[in-house]
Amino acid sequence: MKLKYLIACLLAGTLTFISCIKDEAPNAEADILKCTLPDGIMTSTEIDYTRPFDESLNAYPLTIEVQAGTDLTALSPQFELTPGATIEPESGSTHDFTNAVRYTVTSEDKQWHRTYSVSIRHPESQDIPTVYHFETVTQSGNYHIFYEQAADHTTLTWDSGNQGFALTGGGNVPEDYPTFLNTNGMVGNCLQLITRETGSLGQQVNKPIASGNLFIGRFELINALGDALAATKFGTAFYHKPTMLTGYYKYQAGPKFYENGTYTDRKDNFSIYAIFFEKTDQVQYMDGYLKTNNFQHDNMVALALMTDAHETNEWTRFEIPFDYARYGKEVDETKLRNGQYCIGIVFASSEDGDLFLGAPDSTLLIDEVELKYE
Amino acid sequence: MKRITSYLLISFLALLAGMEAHAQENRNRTLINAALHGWEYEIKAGFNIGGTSPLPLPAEIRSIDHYNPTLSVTIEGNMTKWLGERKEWGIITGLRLENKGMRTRATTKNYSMEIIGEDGNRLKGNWTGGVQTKVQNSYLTIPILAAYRASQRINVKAGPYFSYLMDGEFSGQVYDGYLRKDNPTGDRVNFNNGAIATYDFSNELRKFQWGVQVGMDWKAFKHLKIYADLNWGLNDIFVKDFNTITFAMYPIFLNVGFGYAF
Repeated sequence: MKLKYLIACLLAGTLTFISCIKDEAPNAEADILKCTLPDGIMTSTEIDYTRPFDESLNAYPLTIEVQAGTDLTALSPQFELTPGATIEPESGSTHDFTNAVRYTVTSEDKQWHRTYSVSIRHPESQDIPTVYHFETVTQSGNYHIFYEQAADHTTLTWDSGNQGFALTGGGNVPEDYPTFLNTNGMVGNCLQLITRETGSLGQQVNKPIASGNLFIGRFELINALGDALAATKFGTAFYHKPTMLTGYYKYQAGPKFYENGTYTDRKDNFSIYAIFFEKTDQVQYMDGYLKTNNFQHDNMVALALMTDAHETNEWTRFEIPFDYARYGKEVDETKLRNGQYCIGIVFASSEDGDLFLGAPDSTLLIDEVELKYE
Repeated sequence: MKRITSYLLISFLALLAGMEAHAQENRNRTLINAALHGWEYEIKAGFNIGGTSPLPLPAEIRSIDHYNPTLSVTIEGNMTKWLGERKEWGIITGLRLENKGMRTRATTKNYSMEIIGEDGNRLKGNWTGGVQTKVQNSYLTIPILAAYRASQRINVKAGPYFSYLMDGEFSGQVYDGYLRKDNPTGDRVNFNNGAIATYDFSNELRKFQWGVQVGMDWKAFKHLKIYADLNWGLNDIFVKDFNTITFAMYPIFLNVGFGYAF
């Protein structure tokens, strides 16, 4: 009996020490989870709350679109925050949103802050630029973000998977990333896309390579691991009917193709495509599944798909017409004027990079692209 | 390392068998002689139940969802020298081959971590979600214990032990949760739909460990003993310059089993 008692004591003592769970610490996160304005003012509830830190704003950008004609000088957005967090200025307080308003969220444990630059604006009624020189970038962390400005046009900010590559720890300077600005363009600078190995950390999450990519739309890091194809969201409003995508490229495939954990003889190739689709309440963008579904989607109107991609050391011109016959749909002039059609353009240094297949070092240079339209 | 373990195990068993194979009458005489001079010999076999854990559990660990001590076998040969006239007090030393293992699944919140790949790539951040851990370490241990004969049948023992890690594994994965890059306000990336990240810190385990052992045994029959020893590690199981896990982890195991006293 004594022995049983002793063993019971020892076990109980051990378990008490090991299994005593401490009280939950206060939350350390400081996020805006949701932003609301009075009924009917917002054009869409589709708001991107997770945009990367913008160094020029010194804040996390948050953009809300409201109906044309809404008075921007006195709006009182309500914020839903990480439980326990507080916001300054207060949620529901009235501000003039002619310019962006800065809000700072403080975590429940008071240790962490996130400053947001909240812009409330009317829907864009101007096209994005249609000629892309790839001359200008901003920097976020240590990678490049391309943007294109032109007079009387809405600034186009390109997105890429660089934010995801940053997680692999392999990028110390912009040129380590899969997508960056190269100063030896055909004219001035150009876009360089290069397929990278993602190192030990990329291997651990079963994403052994990262294709260089650049696209119109946005990359949602939050989904990059769980559902990578859904993480690339393509498209922005376009008020004309596109006819052709033209430009110049150079391409060199990497020496060894990586798939299923090994190198094979397969030859890598790049891909360029542009999509034109109708935006509806349910479908605000196209994602990476469009390509894996062979570009079939009920909202698709036209596709421009490069078919004669090949290696070349010289700047080589490409001209890809938009194929409307493929979907057999008419473009509705009213919807076009109202911004209900979207354009998406995608460049990738490995055509199956979306599936994490490709040859490391495959290099695609792109310059002087033009989106022609009627 | 595996080979060294099995080699040692085999030689140890051979040694015991050799002792056994000694002429019976010879043996009895030797043992009686030894007993008269205060020496006792014992072999023990048992298993370890316990875990490798930070102490106390940090607030970042919200729940232990699954625990399996695994079948961690120990085998030990030791000798006791009883001292003095009354032979109440004694000293025990010996050699123990032991496994200390566990499998756990825990849920963490805002757990600060840094994953360092073999190529040196690093990912630092705060993890909220599941962490699965597998520990399976084999040690060669020398206990040095003071013994007290509490009664005819019961001995109580306590003292330090010193272990050498022969083969170790500390690995696992994170799943079902999200990472905030760098700090709790950094970019968020979800691990869902089966996305996991694996880790393996086996090469960062410390070779030399020590701790204290407290226990007792109960003589059920003339030769058969039942024993229980608590082994409490007092140095971090990881080497000093390993910073991925921000808190020290200690092996704490209860060793129970049977002993054969000669």
